[in-house]
Amino acid sequence: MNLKTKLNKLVFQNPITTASGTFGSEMEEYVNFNKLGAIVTKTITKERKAGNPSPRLYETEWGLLNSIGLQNPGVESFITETIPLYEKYQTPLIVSFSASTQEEFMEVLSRLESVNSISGYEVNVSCPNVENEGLAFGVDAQVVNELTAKLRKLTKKELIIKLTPNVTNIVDIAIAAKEGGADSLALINTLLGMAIDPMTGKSRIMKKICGYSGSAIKPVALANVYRVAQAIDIPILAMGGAENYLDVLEFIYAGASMVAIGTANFYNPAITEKIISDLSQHFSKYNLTMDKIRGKSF
Amino acid sequence: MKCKLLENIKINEDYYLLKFSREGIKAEFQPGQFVTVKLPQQVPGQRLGIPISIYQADTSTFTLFIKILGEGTRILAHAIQDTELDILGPLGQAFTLLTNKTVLLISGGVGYPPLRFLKDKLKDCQITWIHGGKFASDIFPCDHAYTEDGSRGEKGLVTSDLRDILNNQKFDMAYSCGPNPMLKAVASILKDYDIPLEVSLEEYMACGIGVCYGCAVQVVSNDEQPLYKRVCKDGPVFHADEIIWE
Repeated sequence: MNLKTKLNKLVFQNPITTASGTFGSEMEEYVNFNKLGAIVTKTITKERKAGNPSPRLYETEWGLLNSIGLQNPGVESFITETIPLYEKYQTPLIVSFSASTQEEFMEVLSRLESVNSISGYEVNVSCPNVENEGLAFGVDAQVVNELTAKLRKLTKKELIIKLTPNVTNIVDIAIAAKEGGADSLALINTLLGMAIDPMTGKSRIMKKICGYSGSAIKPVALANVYRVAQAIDIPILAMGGAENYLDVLEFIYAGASMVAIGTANFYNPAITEKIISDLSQHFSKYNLTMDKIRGKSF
Repeated sequence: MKCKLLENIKINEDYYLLKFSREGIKAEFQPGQFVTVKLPQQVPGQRLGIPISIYQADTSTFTLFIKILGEGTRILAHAIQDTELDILGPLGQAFTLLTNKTVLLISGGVGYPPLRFLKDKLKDCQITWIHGGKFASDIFPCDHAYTEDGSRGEKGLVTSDLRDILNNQKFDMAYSCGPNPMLKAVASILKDYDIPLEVSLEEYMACGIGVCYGCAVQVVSNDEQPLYKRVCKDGPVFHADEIIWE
């Protein structure tokens, strides 16, 4: 069945991709990468990033807390060691990257531009901005606008800005990214969360406040996707707790052109392929196309 | 992979032996490796697979030796025969197998199972196994047993007489699995005697296959920033010298 979809410049065989940080070449054993709509890689930074001290994880009732701290080998090692692992696949490769200054964002993007096998970029603006009192880039509309405009000048490839939900009005940030020249938007990044051992008072996570993902955040993600889709015309790559094809349908009805599977990859590393197959059957059975249902929630 | 539970044997109130069919699993099971097991039903707060080290394996089955530590392991312990459970594995790096050496095994509590599997695979080795636990129910067959309450074996910790043992006998290699404070103490003592040590670590995991970087352990680095390795993929077995103990 025709599951074809697109963002602004990229066309995909189906709307299922992987949320940054929840997928890697280690999944080859479980998933046929050629079946995916796209692959989004774990966020990289200019230099190697050590990540946060343990414990970094805690499972809550219906979600997952994580405090990885963007552990990654840095852009050079990513280009020489990681990229080749994906080059044998036809699936579009979208590289997630982050930085702590605007200059550094530009440096990383410039470096990645030399790699032909990269189809697009997901810009992770949830990192603390050292030039702006450590506030996340993504909470300040003007900063998002400036940064997007600077990155836009450096690439003709799909430029996706990934928004954080931890803002007063996500629509303002979405508009700022669009006006800066973003091709599409990814939303949402993790919520902020915390868990405490009730017997001792000790935080379950070493860094205490951390990212919250999983099915518990799906209603929040849906609301954000819906609000942005209603407010502006820009393709949306949605993520936040989707773990089966019914969740994916909800996101498409809310306005998403692509849906990334995140935490669910940890429950079952083969889940993306299953979702694609279930979604395909559903589209066949009800004679659907993406255009027929995208943004059509009422 | 769905694996059928062939047998569930209660050892005591806390410990159970679960024997599974390994039909469909091609990879060889090696001592030190683990599997992740998903619960047969969705339980809030326990939807991730539970990492459990392998206790025994042959050509058609593998066995897990589990301790009830919380709701998840309690449900597993009460899984009935013929239940099919979602299992990933075998995962992770195994212990180094030696032949014809003098070997010391040191385990604490539920750190026992991987060393039992290792013991079966160490060929022609002269093995001394010391094992400790809180109570008598934590003690399994070994050469020297210790309990914190003195209800079985010697009263004390598994490290209580370790220096005496090392003073009396020479060992080529040691292996250890147990709680982190125990491993830290063992590593520190064995370093004094210059005996190579491999430890199997435990850490909270999400994916179990190296993707999420959630199960980090800090290792020695010549860089100024810390270096973390993944317990699931780079371990769970590490050379003790590599680990920066908290």
